[in-house]
Amino acid sequence: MTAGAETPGLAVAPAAPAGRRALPILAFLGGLLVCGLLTLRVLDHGYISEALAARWTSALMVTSDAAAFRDLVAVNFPPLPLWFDMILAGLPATGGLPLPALASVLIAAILAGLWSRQLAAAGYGAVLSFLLALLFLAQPMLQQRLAEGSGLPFGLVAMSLMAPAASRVRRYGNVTALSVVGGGVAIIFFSDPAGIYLLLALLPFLVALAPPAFLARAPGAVLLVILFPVGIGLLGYLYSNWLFGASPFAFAHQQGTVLKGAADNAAMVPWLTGWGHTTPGAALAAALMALIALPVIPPALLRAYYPSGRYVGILLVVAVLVAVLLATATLFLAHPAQLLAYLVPVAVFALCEAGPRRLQGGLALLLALIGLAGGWLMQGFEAPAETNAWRSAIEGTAVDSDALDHDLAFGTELRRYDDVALDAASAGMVLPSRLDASGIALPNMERIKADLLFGALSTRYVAVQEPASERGRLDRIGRAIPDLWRHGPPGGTLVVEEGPWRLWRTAVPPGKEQENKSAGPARETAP
Amino acid sequence: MSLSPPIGELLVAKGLLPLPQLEEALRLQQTWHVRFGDIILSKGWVRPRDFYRTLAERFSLDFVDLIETPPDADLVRSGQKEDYTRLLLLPWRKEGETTVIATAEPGPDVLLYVRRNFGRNTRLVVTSKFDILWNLQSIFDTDYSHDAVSSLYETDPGSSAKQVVTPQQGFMLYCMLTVLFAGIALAPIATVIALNLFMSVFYLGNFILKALLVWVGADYRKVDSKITDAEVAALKDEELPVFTVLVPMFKEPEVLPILAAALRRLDYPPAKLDIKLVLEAGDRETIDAAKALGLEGNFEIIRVPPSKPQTKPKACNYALNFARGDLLVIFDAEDQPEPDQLKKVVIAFNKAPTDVACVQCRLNYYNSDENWLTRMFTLDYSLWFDYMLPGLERLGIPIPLGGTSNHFRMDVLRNLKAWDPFNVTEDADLGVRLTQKGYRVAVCNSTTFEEANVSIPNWIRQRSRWIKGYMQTYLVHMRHPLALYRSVGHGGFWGFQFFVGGTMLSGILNPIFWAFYAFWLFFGGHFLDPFFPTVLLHLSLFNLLAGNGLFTYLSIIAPLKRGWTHLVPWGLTVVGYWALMSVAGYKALWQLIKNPFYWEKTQHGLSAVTKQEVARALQSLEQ
Repeated sequence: MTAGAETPGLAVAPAAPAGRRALPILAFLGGLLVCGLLTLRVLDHGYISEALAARWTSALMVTSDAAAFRDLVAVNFPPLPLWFDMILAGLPATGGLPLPALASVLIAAILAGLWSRQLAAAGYGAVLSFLLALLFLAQPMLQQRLAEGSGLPFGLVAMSLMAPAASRVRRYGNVTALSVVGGGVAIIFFSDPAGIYLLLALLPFLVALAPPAFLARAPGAVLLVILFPVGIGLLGYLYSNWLFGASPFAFAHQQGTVLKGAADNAAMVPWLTGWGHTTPGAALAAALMALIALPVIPPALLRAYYPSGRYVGILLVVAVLVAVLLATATLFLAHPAQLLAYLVPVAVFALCEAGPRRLQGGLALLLALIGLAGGWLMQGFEAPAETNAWRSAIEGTAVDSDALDHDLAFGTELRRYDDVALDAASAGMVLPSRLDASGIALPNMERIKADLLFGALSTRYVAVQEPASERGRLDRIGRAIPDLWRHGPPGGTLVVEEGPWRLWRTAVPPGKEQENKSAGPARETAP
Repeated sequence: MSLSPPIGELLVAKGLLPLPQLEEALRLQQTWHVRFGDIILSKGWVRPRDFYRTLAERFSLDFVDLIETPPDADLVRSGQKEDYTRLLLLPWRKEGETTVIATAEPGPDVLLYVRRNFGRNTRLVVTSKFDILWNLQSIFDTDYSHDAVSSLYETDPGSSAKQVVTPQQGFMLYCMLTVLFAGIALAPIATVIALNLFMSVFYLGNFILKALLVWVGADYRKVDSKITDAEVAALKDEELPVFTVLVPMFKEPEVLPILAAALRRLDYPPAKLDIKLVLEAGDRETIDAAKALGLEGNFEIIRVPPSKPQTKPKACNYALNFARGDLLVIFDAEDQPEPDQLKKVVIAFNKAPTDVACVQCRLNYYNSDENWLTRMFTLDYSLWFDYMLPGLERLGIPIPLGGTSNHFRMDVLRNLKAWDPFNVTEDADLGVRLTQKGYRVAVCNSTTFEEANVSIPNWIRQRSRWIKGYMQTYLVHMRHPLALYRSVGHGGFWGFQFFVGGTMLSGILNPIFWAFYAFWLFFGGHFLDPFFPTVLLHLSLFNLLAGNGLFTYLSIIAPLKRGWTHLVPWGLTVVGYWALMSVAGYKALWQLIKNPFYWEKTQHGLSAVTKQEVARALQSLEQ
């Protein structure tokens, strides 16, 4: 009466020799070094993406202020990276570090350990597995996403576990493997907005993952098992949004840009105006890009030992390409590399399915090296501004950004002030530069909500951006009180001016000031 | 004694046994390594009375009917009743200076025993096994009953649930309530927050443990192919030990044919099966039904005299006096064990370390598709037996044994004074007790199929007894928490808290939280805000979403191991089943206070599938 599809033996990996047990740890350390150095290099050269700044700001806010924690943790999208950042922020000696980049580097190092382990278990030598894992990790399309604070590394961990699990599902109908696929789908959904397209593309294929015997009996049951984690997660997420954000879709109001991707600037995105403009062009270009960056996939899949492995591998490659088309068609995607990065774990999976007897280690290494160079070329093809900035930084050219300089300088100034009203969501690197968010009053706090409603601020200071600037247009304080930047609050004094930023001292009624002082932290100082 | 021809030849000569059966019996004797008599009686080829009469003839001894002429009660000695049972003998009467000993197994062991205990001036007569056991029960009725009820309490009172709450526990409870009320009076918000935090942590621990158990228990290689068919095939019949099968029943005549047919299907030498139908002496209808089935010689009916508490463990303790196997298993009346179960268990014991004293097999249902309740019950059992118990075994957490199909090493079972008659889930208690006493419980990948409850009131009765039993078990083993901690280790201790404690407590707590939540959801307001500071609010939210989501998911994946994909969508309705569990939980709590030892009887045979199974079984018995 036990599940008929399962058979023991072949799924069992032989016990690892003692020397190989340390491999994942060494690969983890190697990954930490490679990713750490590359990320440090680009940050040192002034590459700080908006996504990194926003995530870093959110992490600082939720760890500094209970009300912000209450509000942001529930409505932030994607939620998983922020949760991880919060855990990191709780660790000692992480103050002042770029938490999202640190999180990405750590997760990427875990990926290196995981991949080396998978490759070694498939029969590749320890040194070869180590080198292959690091080569895959060094892929430019992946490194850029690490530095820009994307949730992609979480998605890659999920994909790295999902691919072999999907193969086990196909082969044995294994329960844990089905759950891993289900869990992986949920992790991708809640960690990387681009991953949502991957899931949409995967949907029709998820049923096809199940063993034929299961499919014949109850395809719906297979879908339910795989999709339940993401379904219940989504319901829970919408519920949290309703609870803390007053609407199940509060996340969409607050973080529309994250979900819209490149749509707002589509006319300025080379990919969307170039090859991505037509579906056949996008399909052809994406397939060629995948081939150039990861030339190891086709030979590895062709030589896969199990047909089920080949089947799952092809299915995942097709799903990623379909995801690229979907994301391009909806103007979300600034560059296919954003989604093609999901093929890196598929490449590792394909190599494992082939094994060293069918695809020799030397050849695999050569193809990975070619892929590294191909990845650099592919990344530069129709690259958006963000990618170009990263490439400049990695080449050692400083990335000039006036906005960033102003943010950093204004943030440094703000260290001296408390009880400051600031719309941190559109404040770039101001809050990270200030180092913490205590004493900052955010527009989603009840107190500031009321202030903005009545057009009079109760905080001691207010920071606001030039309304004509790109970010200034999004500043909720500036939008609620249109003349604030220009004239300041009634009776207020201009305290600091830095580029588009202005810090005004408000004329708080004496009673209210006392109230705020007693409620506020001890740092409050006058300039 | 002068020997005439072998008994087989005598039986053939008297026309009591056909020649082909004699040849078959002799062949089996070579394979099974058992006595000839055991084979032909267990196969039902000769009527027991005919066999024993012929046996008497063979040894030139008289045959006596101990039912018509019972033994002289003055001759039997209480201290020797175990020997009488083991050797199947009884001093029958005095004839002048000569003591006449009746036995069903005339042979060297009996002779030696008789010489040592009754001197040279003795004479043997032959009687049937049934007569010996019947008279042993009649004579030692009071002793057996007393032992069945009090043996554990008298030798190890700390392990008996006879005392529901010890004075120390009562004192602790009093202190805790005092602190709680004082807290509510002096700092109500802080107290409620502390209480809320405690319960949230409990929920978190509960679902983390259960998720971990399912994850570990889902391992196909280590769990589901623990004993392979190849290993079963390689097992030799002569290596198999005698297996006692206890089947306690009460007013269940209707399902008896299912069990009889299932036991006959067992792939185990019948001559090595010592099957006891354990029936209450007053349960005439089941006794008559058992007799009417014309069961083979390896089936025995044990009549348990009335005494309080009238529980299954007491009946099993009583029957244990007559058990002769090296291993023992309990089956319920409607059970259908997989035919190779006993062999798998033998292999499991052979492969296991010596401290493994019990092997628990899986339980599941043959009528899973009958209605919503049976489907949910099937998901529940699949999760419990296919995932969680293997998880408990692998994590070294005490395993609360489940209902039936638990196979014991007889020596350990007797040593521990077997089941606690005052505990209404004596099996769960015994599983934990075994671990506490330094033994281990293993699980085995063989299933016994049962009848799932088809009626909600009947299900609530059954479940309330289980939860009450878990409460008793928790109270018994938490009398000395430090001793428990030392004996089962910290993993075992916390596992016990969350698994046994969690199972009973979650049913009680759930409605409280549901009520608060529903009230807040429908009426809104901020009245609960003070009790949920930020961290606690998020912890509670996480428990609400992740916990409920996870438990629902576990129900969804539960039937997958067995390939029962059609049951997967029913996992979405598990919340209704939780509500029923809470009803049962409160009933259990009330009964623990009011009537702790009362055995809520589960009525079997209500299922339409069971009726079909009975018809099928009757058909197979007729063949």
